[in-house]
Amino acid sequence: MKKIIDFILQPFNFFSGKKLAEKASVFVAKYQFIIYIIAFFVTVSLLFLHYVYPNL
Amino acid sequence: MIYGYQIWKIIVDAYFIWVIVFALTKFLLSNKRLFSITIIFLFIYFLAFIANYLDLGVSKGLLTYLAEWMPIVLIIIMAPDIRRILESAWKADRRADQLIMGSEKTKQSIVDATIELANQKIGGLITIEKHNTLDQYAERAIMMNSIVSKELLLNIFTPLTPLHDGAVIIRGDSILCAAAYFVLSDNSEHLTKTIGSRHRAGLGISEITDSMTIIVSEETGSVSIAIEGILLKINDRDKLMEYLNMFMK
Repeated sequence: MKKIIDFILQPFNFFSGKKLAEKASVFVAKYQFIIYIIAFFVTVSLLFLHYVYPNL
Repeated sequence: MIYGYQIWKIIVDAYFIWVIVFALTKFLLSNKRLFSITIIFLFIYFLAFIANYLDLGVSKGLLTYLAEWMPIVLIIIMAPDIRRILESAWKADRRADQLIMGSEKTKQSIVDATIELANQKIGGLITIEKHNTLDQYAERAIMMNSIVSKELLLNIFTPLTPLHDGAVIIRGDSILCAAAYFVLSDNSEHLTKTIGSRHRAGLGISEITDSMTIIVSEETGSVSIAIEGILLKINDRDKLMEYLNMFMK
């Protein structure tokens, strides 16, 4: 039973141990152009969902 | 006309959305706690979408209800951080325009203190800030805002004193804070098992920011610098001064 629970929780343990949030926020501070790229893709996705597939 | 909409309306709409999304993205990625909570919220939104898509009776209602209240919960939980980020937004812009690195006297003080620490085999970790702000580390450390001097640096790193553990962060000609803690590097390519946590901390901060860190080993008295994710051993004070001059110009 313990092995099954460990197996299920493994992905969460993997990500929680890497301090990804800290690294990501500092990485974005270092390479600010990433914000433009993310904003661009989110904007395009929102427009696409609204104008092309409004009923999705 | 595209899909029954006027083109100019779509362009204006796209511009407004881009401005809002850009501001939100910048805001959410500026702080690691905010970022962590956002990821959890996005995960809940994703689950709500799946539950809606598959029409799962109970979880659909529950997750949709949670998703609707998420923005308010986010504002309540993160109120202090949101206030601080908004207050510091204009300061960050000013800092980027008016970046001032340390003077010759500061460089000399850093070199003198480092060599003295190495001679006495006292461990030291001195991080010099450049463009990327180290505020999020300074906030959890002991704030100092003192003029850099050899004597002060030596005093900070003197063993068994309250501030000796952790790093000193230098901004311009000031010691911003002492006893700061960084994320340890897990880059196994550059690190042997004999390298301690002080070197790992120095390397860790150099991997994620454009700062430079001087590390003095308390075991061997050797001096290293960590910059751009690389650890370099420094043999003499001239070499150290050379690197400082290159970094702080």
